[in-house]
Amino acid sequence: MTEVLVAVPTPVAATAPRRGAPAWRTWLPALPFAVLVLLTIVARWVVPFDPETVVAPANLAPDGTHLFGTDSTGMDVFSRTIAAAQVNLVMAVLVTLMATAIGLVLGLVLGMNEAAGGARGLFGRGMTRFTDLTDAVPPLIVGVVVVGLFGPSLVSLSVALALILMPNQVRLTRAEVLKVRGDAYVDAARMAGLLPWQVMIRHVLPNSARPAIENSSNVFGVSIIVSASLGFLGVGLNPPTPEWGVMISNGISDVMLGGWWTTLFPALALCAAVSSAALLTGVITRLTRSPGQ
Amino acid sequence: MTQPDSPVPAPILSARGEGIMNSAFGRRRFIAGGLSGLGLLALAACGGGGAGAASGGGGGGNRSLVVAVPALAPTLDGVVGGGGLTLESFEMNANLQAGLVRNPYITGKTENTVVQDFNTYVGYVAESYEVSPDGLTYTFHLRPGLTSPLGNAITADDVLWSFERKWNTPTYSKTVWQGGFAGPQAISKVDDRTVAFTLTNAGFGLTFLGLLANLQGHIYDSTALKQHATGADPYALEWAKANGGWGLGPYHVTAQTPDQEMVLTANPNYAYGAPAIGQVTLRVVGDAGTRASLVASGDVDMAEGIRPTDQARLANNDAVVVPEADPIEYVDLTLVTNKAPFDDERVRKAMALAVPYEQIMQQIYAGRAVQMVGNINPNTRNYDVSQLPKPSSDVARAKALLAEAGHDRIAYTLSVSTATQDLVDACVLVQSYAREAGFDITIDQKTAADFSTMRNNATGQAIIYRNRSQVQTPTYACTIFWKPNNDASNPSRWQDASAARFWEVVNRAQAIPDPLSPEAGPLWLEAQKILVDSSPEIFVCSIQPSQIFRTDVGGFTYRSENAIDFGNITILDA
Amino acid sequence: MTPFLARHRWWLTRTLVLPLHIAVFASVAFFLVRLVPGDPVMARVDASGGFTQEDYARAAEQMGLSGSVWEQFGRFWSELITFDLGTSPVTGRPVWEEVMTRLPSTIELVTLGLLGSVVLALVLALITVSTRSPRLHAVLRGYGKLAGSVPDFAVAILGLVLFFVVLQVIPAPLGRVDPRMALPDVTGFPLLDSVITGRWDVLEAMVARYVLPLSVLVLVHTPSLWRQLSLGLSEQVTAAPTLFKVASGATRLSVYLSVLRRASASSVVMLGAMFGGLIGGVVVIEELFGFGGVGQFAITSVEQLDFVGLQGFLVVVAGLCLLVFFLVDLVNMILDPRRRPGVRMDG
Repeated sequence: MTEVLVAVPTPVAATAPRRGAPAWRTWLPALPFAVLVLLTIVARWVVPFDPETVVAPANLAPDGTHLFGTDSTGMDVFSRTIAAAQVNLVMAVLVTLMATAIGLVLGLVLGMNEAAGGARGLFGRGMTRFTDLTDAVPPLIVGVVVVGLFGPSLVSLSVALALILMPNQVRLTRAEVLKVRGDAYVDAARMAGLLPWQVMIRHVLPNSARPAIENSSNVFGVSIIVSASLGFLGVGLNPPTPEWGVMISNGISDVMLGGWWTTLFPALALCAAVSSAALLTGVITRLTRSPGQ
Repeated sequence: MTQPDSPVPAPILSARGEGIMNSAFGRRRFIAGGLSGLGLLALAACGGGGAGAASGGGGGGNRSLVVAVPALAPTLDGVVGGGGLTLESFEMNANLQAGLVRNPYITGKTENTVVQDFNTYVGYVAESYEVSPDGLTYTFHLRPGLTSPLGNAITADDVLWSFERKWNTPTYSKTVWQGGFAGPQAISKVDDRTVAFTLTNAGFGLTFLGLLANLQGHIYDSTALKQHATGADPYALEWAKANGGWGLGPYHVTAQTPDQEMVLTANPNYAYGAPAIGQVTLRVVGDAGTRASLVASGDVDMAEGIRPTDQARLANNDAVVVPEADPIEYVDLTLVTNKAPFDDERVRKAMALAVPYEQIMQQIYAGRAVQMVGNINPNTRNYDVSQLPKPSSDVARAKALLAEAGHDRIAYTLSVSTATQDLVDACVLVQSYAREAGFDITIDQKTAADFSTMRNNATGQAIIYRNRSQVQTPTYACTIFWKPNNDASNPSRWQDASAARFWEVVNRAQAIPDPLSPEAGPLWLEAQKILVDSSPEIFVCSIQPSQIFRTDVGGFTYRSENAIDFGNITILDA
Repeated sequence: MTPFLARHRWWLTRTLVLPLHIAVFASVAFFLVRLVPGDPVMARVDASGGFTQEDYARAAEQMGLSGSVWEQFGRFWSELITFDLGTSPVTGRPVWEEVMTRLPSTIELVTLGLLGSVVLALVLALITVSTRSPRLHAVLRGYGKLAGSVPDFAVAILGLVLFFVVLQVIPAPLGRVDPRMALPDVTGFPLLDSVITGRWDVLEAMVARYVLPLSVLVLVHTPSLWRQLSLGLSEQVTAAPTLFKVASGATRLSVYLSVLRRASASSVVMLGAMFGGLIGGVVVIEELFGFGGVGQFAITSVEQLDFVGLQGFLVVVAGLCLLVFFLVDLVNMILDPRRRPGVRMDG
């Protein structure tokens, strides 16, 4: 949760292939993420052991049978690490969709209305401050309250994470809206007789959605890390559901006295997933930026 | 009766006076007077601080002790309350407070450790006591010249006022005394040093002494508390939460940084003489593995809340002692009987047969757990635990019982607190193994407070938690958890025909004046047979002490509430 | 409206509504904490021996939790307007004191961590802009991606295992100073206090214990700041104003500063958000190193259902966060006048 929630895309210049490079070069960075998605789909069929059942003595070090050892109850860490990809990815996708959708809508509405006079402006400014307010609530409390209210399910945890990560999507969109709302083409559209909402949807939205969409794959990665931090504080999915965050936080006490495997492997998996999402960012960024820009 | 086990008196810097009263909270405000001298001494002994520096300090009475703890008690309030049931609060009570009597310490299993003898009680704040021939009047003779750490004399008035205060504390549970003691009106002052308690039931006597010896029976310095009483708070309940010095235990708190550190300074006026360790510093270390490694590295002398797996890992470390005892704390799988499926006794019996006892003891507790048969302390005089059926896992019989009850499979939710990771793990084991016997268990994690609400209101289907009988008498063990009429202290709400039979036997046993007599023993046994058979609570196993310490620490006490009595700790010469 | 007011409306109104925002938040916080599951009275009553409804009612009253929610809300506000956050029923101490004894040390840790991140981010951004070595770029990019993809507590534990258990070069994670050392207390900021009181031994002990947690904070949190900054820089380096400055023969330093000024707006927003997030979020690090801190108070309050403590914490921390966001907005509106709402370009 200490992870910063506005993560921002890597500079395009850094990863952009040379002009005229073959299409596969453009798509190559998306490969790890595709593999991850594939793994998610087949996870339950490829694991050697049932990831939610005790299959061996507890705390076994990695060996030929249990590639990643067993955890404090005797479940197979390898099977759980693979199976957790499913839970974590579904959760991260849910969070990303929710946070970005809400972020775009709110950011657009706020940005357009803030400078207006009268009740509309008051509403816009009021809502902007309200977004700040939600951001001022420590994520931990949001997590505990939401999960406490609805029970520790995949959906409630996703809602909690979306609420935690949403304000920055709002802020990114709003900042962009504030920048473009005065641009000539918006004025032109307005003068051409388009209704305010038409201007908003047709001209402002396409030109201000980029930062939030580019940031969405970061939201994806950060959501996994925040869920791990929540797990560390005892707000996680019910056992024995395999989930990287909870696996890492449960295993972390073992590390000091030599039980490294229960933490290391899920941590590596988490790291790989977040990194693959970061690579995907590059692809998305390139797709959202038209060549003329 | 006098105490057989007063710790070696040691020279200690005096810490009398108003200073302690304000000792207080705030960030580390060391009190004026003698204490700062002690602090300086400790500082001089251990400057800077590189890694692996073994705890230094001078020898003898000025030796200080550093303990890594998972949390600190939120208040210094001795009555109960707050986290009255958390280990840290129990430990505060055990070290800051003292009652009229206590269980004497006897040699424990592990070398240089002691345990409590639950069959007898010796004087503590009282020097001695006697019981009238009818077993209804207990007369206590207070120690002559006893004063609180603040220097106020402790007299019969303090005893009376202490009980008056308890009965007027909203969070205090008076019902524990219901078996035979009516409260302040049943206490009379004979003279300044003598008080008499009158009971209504002689059979309650042993439990009565047990309650006097535990947190329900502590005696306070009424002079100090009255000074801070207000109109709205005539018993200084609020003041006492944050200010020390009014208890009579071996230590009092002299400095505190909330959530980080608490400094306990020896009480020079302690009933058993000033403790050997002049100062105990409790430092909060959140991670259990880190606490364990700090003892191994010598950075701290003792650590609490260590996981059994880490204890097993350190068992062969020559510098570390992993104590063993006849454990009192146990894993309690309570089947809530006020709703399906556990309103059916056969389903409860089936569940009791579906629990993987051996696997839990070996895998979750790394062998640091022992089989638990019934909930009466097996060392109780005239009680033969070997006659009780031992818990066993038997899938076939569990299935047969389920079929008999008309079920093919049964699905239910097992709730557990996130604060107890070992129990969360145990749930996974129970879930995995009970599936074979026909139980489809969903595990439900709750925050500690949410869990305790659920436990008290009996809103769940089944819950698992660590439990202990604070007073180790058969009377207490048989009466405390199964009170009828939807009582909040009865987490299983066990109230069927078996419960009625159970209470009938228990009442017969309670009518016998001496609960440890040869006549009472068989009755307790009979009651326990009904209890274990009906299985409103499954006693999964009892677990070994969760502390570890350096080999030069002697006098470790394993007590019924699992708190260390720092007043009994000594430093052994190498 | 006078011209002065008109010109300064963008920050004046923003300043005047700040207390209003805090008030709105306080009300929201009051109801938010009551959504935390569990019964606070039940959690405090000793039920080991059973208790009656009467006992429950008495306990509720003593804890200030009697009466309807609206009565409690009324009491909360009547206390709040006198800057009284109430007394915690769990600890028996004023909540203001509880929060204020813990907040400074957390602010100190977070500020130092962010300061380190800013410095490192600037250095890294400077390196990426000014050098062309593809290998160096690849290494730095790798660090940026990796550091953002590991939870900070995992890095901290790894650091502890490596430097405390294996190499034994750092002191035990047992708090800010040696267990036998007392922290001086003047302002509540531990480092500052040891300097003020001239306790160089305490300072030395503390610095030794800050190295690892601060390194973890800086390592984990720099990349997002750095990425934000280099994104801005890469846009601004080739922007028209820069080219104009270069063409007009400005000094190298003045060109750099101008680029930095225009590129840093979004990084400042990020810095504000990071500060807000870390005040509550650094708790995991604080817990691992035994530092206490205000986040720990919030967690304990949740666990023990201390509604009064939790709402007090929320009010204070939100007030602080809103203040920081406010400063961020002001700084940004100064850096980039387009961001000033309600005002058309004056020129």
